[in-house]
Amino acid sequence: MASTEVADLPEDVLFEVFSRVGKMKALFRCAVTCKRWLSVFTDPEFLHRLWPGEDRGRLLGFFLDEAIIKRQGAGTTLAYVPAPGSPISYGDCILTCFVTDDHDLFHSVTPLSSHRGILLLRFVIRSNKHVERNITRCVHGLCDPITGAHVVFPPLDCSCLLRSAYGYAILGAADSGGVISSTTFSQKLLLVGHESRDLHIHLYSRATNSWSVATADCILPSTRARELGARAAVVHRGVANWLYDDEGQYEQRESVYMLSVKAGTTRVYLTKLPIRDSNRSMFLCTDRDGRLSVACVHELRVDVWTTQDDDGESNDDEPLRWQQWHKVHEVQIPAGANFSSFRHCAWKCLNSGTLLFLVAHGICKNQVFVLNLETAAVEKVLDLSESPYSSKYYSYMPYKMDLPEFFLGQIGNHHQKRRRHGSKYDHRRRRHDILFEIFSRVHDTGDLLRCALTCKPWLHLLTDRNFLRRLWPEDRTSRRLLGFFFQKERFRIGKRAIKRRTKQVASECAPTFLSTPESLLGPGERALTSFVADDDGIFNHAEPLASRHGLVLMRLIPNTYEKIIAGLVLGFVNPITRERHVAPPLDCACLGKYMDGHAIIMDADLGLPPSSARARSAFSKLIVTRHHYQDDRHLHLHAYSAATRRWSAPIRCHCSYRFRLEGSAAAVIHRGSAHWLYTDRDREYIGDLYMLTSDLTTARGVSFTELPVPTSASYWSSSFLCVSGDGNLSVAIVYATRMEFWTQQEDGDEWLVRAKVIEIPPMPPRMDYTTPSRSAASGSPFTEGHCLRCMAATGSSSSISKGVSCRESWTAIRACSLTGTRGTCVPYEVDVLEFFVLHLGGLLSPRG
Amino acid sequence: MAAPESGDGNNGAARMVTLISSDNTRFEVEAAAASLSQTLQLTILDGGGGGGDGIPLPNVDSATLSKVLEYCIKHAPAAANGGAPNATAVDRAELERFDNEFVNIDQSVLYSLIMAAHNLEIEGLQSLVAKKVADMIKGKSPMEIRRTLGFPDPTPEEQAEMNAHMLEYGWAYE
Repeated sequence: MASTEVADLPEDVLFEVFSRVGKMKALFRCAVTCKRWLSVFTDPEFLHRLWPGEDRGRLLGFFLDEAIIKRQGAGTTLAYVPAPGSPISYGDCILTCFVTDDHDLFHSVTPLSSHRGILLLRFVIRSNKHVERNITRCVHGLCDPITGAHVVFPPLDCSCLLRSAYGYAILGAADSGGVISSTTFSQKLLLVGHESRDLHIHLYSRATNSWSVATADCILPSTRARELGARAAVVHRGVANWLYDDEGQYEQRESVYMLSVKAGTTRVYLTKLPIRDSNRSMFLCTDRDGRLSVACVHELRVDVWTTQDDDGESNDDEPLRWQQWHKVHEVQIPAGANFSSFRHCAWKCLNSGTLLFLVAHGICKNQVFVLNLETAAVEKVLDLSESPYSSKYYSYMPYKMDLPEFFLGQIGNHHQKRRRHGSKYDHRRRRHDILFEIFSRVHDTGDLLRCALTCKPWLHLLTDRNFLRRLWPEDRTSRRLLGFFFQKERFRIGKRAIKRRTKQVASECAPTFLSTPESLLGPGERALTSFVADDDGIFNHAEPLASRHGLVLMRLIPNTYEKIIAGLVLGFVNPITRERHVAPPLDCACLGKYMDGHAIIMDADLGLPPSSARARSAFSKLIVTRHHYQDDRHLHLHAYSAATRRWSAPIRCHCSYRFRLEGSAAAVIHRGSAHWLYTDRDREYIGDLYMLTSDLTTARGVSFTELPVPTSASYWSSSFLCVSGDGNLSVAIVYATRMEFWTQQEDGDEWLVRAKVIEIPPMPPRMDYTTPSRSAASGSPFTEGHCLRCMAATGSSSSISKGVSCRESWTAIRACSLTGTRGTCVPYEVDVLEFFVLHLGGLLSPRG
Repeated sequence: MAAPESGDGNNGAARMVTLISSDNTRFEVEAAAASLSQTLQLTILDGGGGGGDGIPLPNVDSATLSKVLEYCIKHAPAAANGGAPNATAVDRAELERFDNEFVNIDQSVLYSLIMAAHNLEIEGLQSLVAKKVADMIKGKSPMEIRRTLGFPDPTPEEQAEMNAHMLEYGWAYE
C-alpha cells in the first residue's frame, strides 16, 4: 500500500492522538467513526491507559445550583464547572449545553444526585396551576450529560413528598447484579419520604415506566426521627443506604439508624447502629477496602466507623452485621489547611476512601477539597473564589463517573458480537461477512459445494479453514454425525424373494437416511436415492454396510438370481458429492452370498498426498475378508483397487474357521494397518480375543495374534476395536453397565493395559428397555476417542436406536428413533470442514 | 436501547433525524426507526443527526436508503416493544408478509440492500436479505447459480476452468 490510511494507524499512534483529544464528546464521536476505532475504544486496556488511575470514577466537575435565587421564584438552570483536567470541559456552561432542552424543562431543575454519570434531577414546575390546586407534583427525571439522553418520569403524587423526597437512590443494572448494558437508563429509582412515622418508598422502574410503592411496613422509631447526612444514598453491594437520627432518643446517645433498601428485592431494613457520638455531623461513605462506613466529623478530626469482617455475604434477613461496627480510626484534619470555617462545609462521599468537602464560608469560601481517609491528605479540587460564582452560596453536586466503564457500557455491546468471532475486526473481511450471512443460511452441504464451484472467490472462501470454522462452529461430535443409513427390512436373496421384488409384489426396502438433529444434510428421513442417481434401481436395491470419510459402502443386490450368484457386488456412494462407484462383481468360492469383514482405505491412510488433479477420489482400496467354508476353512482377503478397478487374487491367511469376527465388521484403520477383532468359537464363553492385522499397502503381511486382555467375558459382553483419544489402538469391552478400555502401549511387550472404565448410564426408565441383543449392544468405532453405541430397546412393536458417544463419559447424542429397523444401521459421520478442504483444495493449486 | 427516544416521547413528538444519502438526498425519519441500525444508533445516542446537520451516509445511495428506511419504519415499533411480549400473532404475520414482499425485488437492489444493511448493521434486514439470497442458491448447479445471481458472463478463461471442473466434479453439475 503506497499511502497509509488513517484507519490503518497502529494503536500506539491512536493512543497518542486520542490522549490529546481530551474532550469526552469528541472521543465519543471518534469511537463511532469507524469500526477500527470502535474496536480500540471498546478495549478496556486501551481505555484504562487513556484514563489511568481511575478507581471507581473520576471527578469530572460540579453542577452548581443557585439555591437562594430559586427560592425567590426565578428559575435558574444548573451551572457546570469542570474539575481541573476533566475530559468534560466546556469552560463554564449550563446544563442545557449538554441536553437539548426542547420543552424548556431543564431551565429550572434541582440536582439531586449523580450515579455512574447519570444525574437525577427534580424539575420545578413553574406553572401556577398546581400550586392553586394545592397538589404537590414531584416530577423527576434522569439525564446523561454526555450523550444528552434524558428521561422524564411520570409525576408522583404522594402526601409524603410535600416537602420533597427525603432520600433518593439511582440503582443501575450493575447494582442489582446485572450486566452493564448500553442502555443508558436501565436504572431503578428509589424515592424515600415519610409521613409521621410511616416510611414511604417509591420505586420507579424503567420497564413499566411507572411508580410503585415498594413497602409501607416500615416505620420510624419516633415522630422526631430525621434524616442525617446526605440525601443521596450510598449504594453498596446492591443496597441503598441512608442514615437516620432519632432526636427523641437523643439522651441515649445511641440513636443512629440506617435505612437499607435492597436493589433486587426492594426489601427494607431499619437497623440501629452502635455508634456513640454526640456529634450529629455524620454521613455514610465507603472506606478504602470498599466497606460501608460512617464518618463523624468533629472539630479537627474525622472518626470513621465501619463493620468488621464484612465479607459481603450478607443474607436476606440481615444485610450487614451492624453489631460488629466499631471505630476504626480517626483522621486528623491537617491544621495547616487553615479551614477556619469547616463547620459550614457540606461533606460527601467521593470514591472509596476519599471524602469530598465543600467550604461555603470563611476564608476558603466556595472551594472544594478532597480528604483522603487513609493518608489524611487534603487536596483542593475546585476553587471558585476568583470566578463569577464566588459571591453566592451554591449547593454543589460532584459529577463523577468511571469513564472506561461508560465507554464500554455505551458502545461495548455493539462490539461484543464481532469480538466473539475472533480477533479484531478487519474491514477487508466485510465482503466475507456478507457471504457468511448468505452461506450460513444455505443449510445443504451439497448446495455449498456447488457454490464453491460457481466462481473463484467463492472457491477460495469455501476452502478457507477459518471461514469454514466460522460456518460450522465447534466441530462437535454431534455435528460430525450427520445421520444413519439403515434399512427397514433385510433383503432376502432367495429366488422367490427376487421374483416377488421384480414383480413389485413386495414393498421396496430402499436404503433410507435419517438425519440427526442439526445435521448438515438437512432434517428428516429420506431415501438414499434422493442423494444419488438411482442408476436403474441399483442403489435402490442396496444394503448399507459401513461408512468412512463420507463414503458409504453398499452391498448392491442385482435384480436376477443369476447375477446374484455371479458374485458379490459392492458399490460406494458419497451422499454429499453424489459420486457413485460400483466395483465389478467379486467371484470367489469363499464368498458365496456374504462377506465378513471389510476395510475402506483412503489415500490418506496410505500416506499418499491427496492428488491435486483428482482430489475427490480419495478412495483408494477396499479389503474384503471371508472364511472359505469349503476347503480348509481359512480366511481369504480380497483387495480392490480403485485406480485399476480390479480385484486382486485372494490372499490366504492363518485364521481358521474356529475364529469368529467380533465387534464391527468394518476394520479399524490405524497407522497403516487394518485391524479386526476375533474370538474363538470353541471357547466362546471364555472370551479370548484375537486381532487380525493387515498391511494396507500390500494387503499382505497379515498377522493374527492373541490379545492379552483378561476378560471375564460373559455371554452378554461384547468387544470391539477403536482408537482412543490419544490416538492409540484400544479394545473396548462392553458389559451391561460398564465399558472397559484396554489400550495399546507405544512399545513394550505388555501392549495392552486397562486404560479406563466407563460406567454406562442406565437407560431412561420410559424406554421399555430390554437387554440389547448381542449385536445391538456392541458399539462401533467412531471418531478418535469416541465410539458409538446404538442402543436398541424393544418396546411394543417398534425398536428404538439411540446413538451414544463416549469419551470420558457417556454422552447421549439426541435420540434418533429408527422405527422398525431390522437390518444394519450405519452411522454416517463426516468431518465436513476437512471434507471441503480436501475435496476442493485441489482445485486451487496450480495445475501442471 | 430505546431510551433516548422514549425520553423524548414524553415530551410529545418523536425525535427526528436526518440521513443524507451518497447523492445528497435528505431523508428525515424518526430516531426510533433509524436506531435499528446499530451504526446510526451510536451516532443518534451521541446526539447527532438532529436539526440542520444530518448524518451523511456516503456508502448508501438514495434508492437503497429509501428501501432501507421502508424496512426500518415498518420494524421500528416491534423492535421498540422488544418483540415478543406485546406483539400479537396478527402483527407478526403482517410483518412476515411485509418481509416476504420486501425482498421480492430486483437483484441489483437486493445486493445494494445487503451491502447497506451490513454497513448500517441492521441485523434483521441483513438476515432477511441473506436468507433471500441463500434461498436463491439452494438446489442449483454452479451455472444456474451464476445465472440466478446475475454473475457476469464467464470470460473464456473462466469458462475453460469451469469446463474442467465440470469434468472432474460432474456430480455438482447434475
